[in-house]
Amino acid sequence: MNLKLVLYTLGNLLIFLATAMLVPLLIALYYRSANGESDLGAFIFAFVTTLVVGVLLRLTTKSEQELGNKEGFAIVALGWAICALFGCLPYLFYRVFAAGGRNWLVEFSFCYFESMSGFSTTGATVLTEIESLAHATLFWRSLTHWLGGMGIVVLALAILPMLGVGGMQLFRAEVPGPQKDRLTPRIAQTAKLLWGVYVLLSVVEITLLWLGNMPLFDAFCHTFGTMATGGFSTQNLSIAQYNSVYFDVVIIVFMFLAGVNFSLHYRVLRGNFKSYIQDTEFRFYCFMLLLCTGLVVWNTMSARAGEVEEVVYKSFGTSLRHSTFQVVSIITTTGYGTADFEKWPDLSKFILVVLMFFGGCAGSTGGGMKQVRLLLLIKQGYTETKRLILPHAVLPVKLGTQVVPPEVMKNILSFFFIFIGILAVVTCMMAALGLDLISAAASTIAIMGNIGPGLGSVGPVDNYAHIPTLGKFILSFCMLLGRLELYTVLVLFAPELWRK
Amino acid sequence: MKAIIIGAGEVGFNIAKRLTAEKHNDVVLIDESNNACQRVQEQLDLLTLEGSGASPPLLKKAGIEDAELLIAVTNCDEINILACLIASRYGVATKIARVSSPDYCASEHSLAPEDFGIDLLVNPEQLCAQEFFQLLNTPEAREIVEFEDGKVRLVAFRVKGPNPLQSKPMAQLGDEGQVSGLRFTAIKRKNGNTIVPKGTDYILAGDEVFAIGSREAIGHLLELSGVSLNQKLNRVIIAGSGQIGIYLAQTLEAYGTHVKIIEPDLKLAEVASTILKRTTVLHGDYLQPGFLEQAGIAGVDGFVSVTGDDENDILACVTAKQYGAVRVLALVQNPRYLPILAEIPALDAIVSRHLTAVGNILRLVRRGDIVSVASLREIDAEVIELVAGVNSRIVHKEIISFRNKFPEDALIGAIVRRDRVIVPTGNCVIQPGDKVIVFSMPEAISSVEKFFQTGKRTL
Repeated sequence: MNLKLVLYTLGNLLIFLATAMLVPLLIALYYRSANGESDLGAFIFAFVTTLVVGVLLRLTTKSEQELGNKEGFAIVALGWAICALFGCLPYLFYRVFAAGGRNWLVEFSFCYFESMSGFSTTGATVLTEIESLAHATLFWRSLTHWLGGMGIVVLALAILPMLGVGGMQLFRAEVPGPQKDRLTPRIAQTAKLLWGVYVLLSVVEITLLWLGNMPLFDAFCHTFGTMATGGFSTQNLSIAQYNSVYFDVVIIVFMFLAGVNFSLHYRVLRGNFKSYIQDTEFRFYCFMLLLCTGLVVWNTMSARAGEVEEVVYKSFGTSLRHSTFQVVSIITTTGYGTADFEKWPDLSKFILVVLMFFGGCAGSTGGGMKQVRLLLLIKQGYTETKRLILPHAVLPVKLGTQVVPPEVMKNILSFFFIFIGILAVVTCMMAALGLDLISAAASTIAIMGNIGPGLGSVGPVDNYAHIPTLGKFILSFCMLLGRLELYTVLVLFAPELWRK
Repeated sequence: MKAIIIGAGEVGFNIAKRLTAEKHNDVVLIDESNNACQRVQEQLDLLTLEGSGASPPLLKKAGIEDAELLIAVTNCDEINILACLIASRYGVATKIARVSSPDYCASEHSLAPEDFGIDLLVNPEQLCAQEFFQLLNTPEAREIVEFEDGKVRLVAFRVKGPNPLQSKPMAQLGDEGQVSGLRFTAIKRKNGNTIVPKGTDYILAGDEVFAIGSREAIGHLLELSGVSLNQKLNRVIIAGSGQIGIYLAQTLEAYGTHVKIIEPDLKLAEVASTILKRTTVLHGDYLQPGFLEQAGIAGVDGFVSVTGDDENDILACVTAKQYGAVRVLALVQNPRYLPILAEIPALDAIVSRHLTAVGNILRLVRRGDIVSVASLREIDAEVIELVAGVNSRIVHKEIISFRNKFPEDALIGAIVRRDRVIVPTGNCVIQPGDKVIVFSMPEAISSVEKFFQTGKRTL
């Protein structure tokens, strides 16, 4: 592998990240007079540090070679880890997590967790008190979501005219889903179109939230959280704070859209309205959503739960509102909350946990294993059963009218295996670190699937601050694994990648 | 420009590579093989689609409605023709098809290429045969590239024995008028080094010299170096009666040469004997000891091996040279052999089927200011023909004034102004509309192009 070339590209990425830091910097400047202490200094330091490191990397490792397969993986995987590292500088400099008696490593683990949670669009927070934070810091949390949602490397690809052939390697390593959709012959153009759709939808959501009288600042932050399927809020109680049906509906709709393959949005915007219906994965995603919402509505209205032995919701309307919000929030791996599903009956909780595994569609901003993988696994299972009865039958696995190549199928099967395997190992680790079984398992799945809130001690009204320092690092790594769909990160550990 | 290429073979791949190198070209490549698609996808920034290039739904998916160029270069004539037909229905401006079968190519039959909407019909076999004929007809030439309908020629030849070229430094050769109307563009020394010669360099025995100039000047140069141009092609032996063999035999027949063609397969030999009129068709294994001798190889003016089996072709040529053939030429299919073949001294010249096809297609596909491109086989260099625009950086200036800025690995070989060929000197001024032929190493091409770009950048 050409390490010089990798470092050179990472340098470019850092310069790009530094540019992004200018936005919260300006916000800090604007809100400076509002309260005595300001986070302006922290952002200036973070900006300068990132820029200097980026420029130094760029200057010392100038390379003109073409990116290969190996470099592509290394750039994306290391790029994300490094973006999270530099992205945590504002928290570190502003001493957001400098509570009494914490040593630097503990404080760093908080910052890195929060930063990685932002970029990977997990939305799990280690903040206990959100509302007291300065505006710029809140904005930076949400902005990391937004940058990470569509992929920071893909964004760089769209904006910087730096990559030709290598672009495909980066695109493949970052965009989720088993088969990547290429909208146009030029990869940079495809990246531009996807980001274009992303920006457009974001603008629409900001406008709608703002028209509903949400403060503009909050509208920006929540839109970033929604479109990236992240989940960071500016409020302690998340969306529940507003208690507004209008906001709930707007956010449900945009979470749903963010969980759909963005290539489909592009095709529809180009006037091909049948694209949604024709897409098998989209239909399956809608079906899963309706089914689960129906079950949760029924369950929360009929089953008696909690100490008082009462149904959770008495009216259908309230149940529908909260059930839909939670189901969409979890299936798209956003993690916003309007209700504490911890208090829901067991069936509903279990449905939500199952949804955490699979997440949104391929090519969306959502995390998890993706609906298309679940669909293909079901089809593969059915095919194998059928083959036992009809040994000579030719039974290709099809997605719509397209046959799924056996290599893709193998990739999905081993993806499923690795995902479950890592889940088991990390759950053991979390349990070893002292979490109870429910919390250990739920935190792992909620982190790997990039959802955020889990169950038990990491439920929707709790946070991850109490996780031990080592656990925070392990979980930060799992967020990266989940966001980059395992393989891109795992190849870093293959010795073949590092050989010349 | 949006281009669709059908067939990801050696030809399709190389054309796609050239087109994607230009930022403003969008290329979609269609091939039936998943492996071929993946190989291309790994190396080039373009979209690949798997399937038949003659399928209207697939072509529609490839965006044929707004494509300006379609190049169909699969191994199957019918698919190529059909693809062009579909493309013409969708109004694609330029359609190029590779067609090998003589049945489709012959112009006297009722169906002309225009009936299928084909703008350029590329027959690689015929082109190879033409190239072989040119090479046979220009003694000592190892490579020939023609520009502007043959007015300007680039020739590569090997300097043998003592001759007047060797005695003086190159600048003096020009000053004393021994060679005029041409430029030496490169010299490949015996040890394999390639240099772009300066005036103080000498030509040495065993050098391979690349010179560009008017047709007459090049002929004169070859004569100076001891090649007799009046040599007539009396006898030629061809091994292999495939398409290329037959085309070549026909061309040579028309030229008045006695041709013998050797074919190991009896059926094919019979077919060849019915097609060809005055050619003697021999049936037998040309690699068998004694066979070539019996066929009269000693003293033959040319031996061309075109069986399509690279190893056998090369071996046959080496054998023929041993038995006393004056000039031996081989066809090479596998591009991986090209760099090695220059090292085999017995081989006088080679022709590569795919490079010939690529070169001919690219000549038609105008890339911005570039009129045509040819990659040289013998050395890693290209010859490009560019048009100087009204506000290109290169016009209205004496060449000497930008000499320092012009890339070192490139030089202006010739200028064609209206029908006149001008050999550039230091105080020569390039005018808008001039066609300039530049010899360049691959790395320098983009900087050469910048000199010709017109003010506005097309993107």
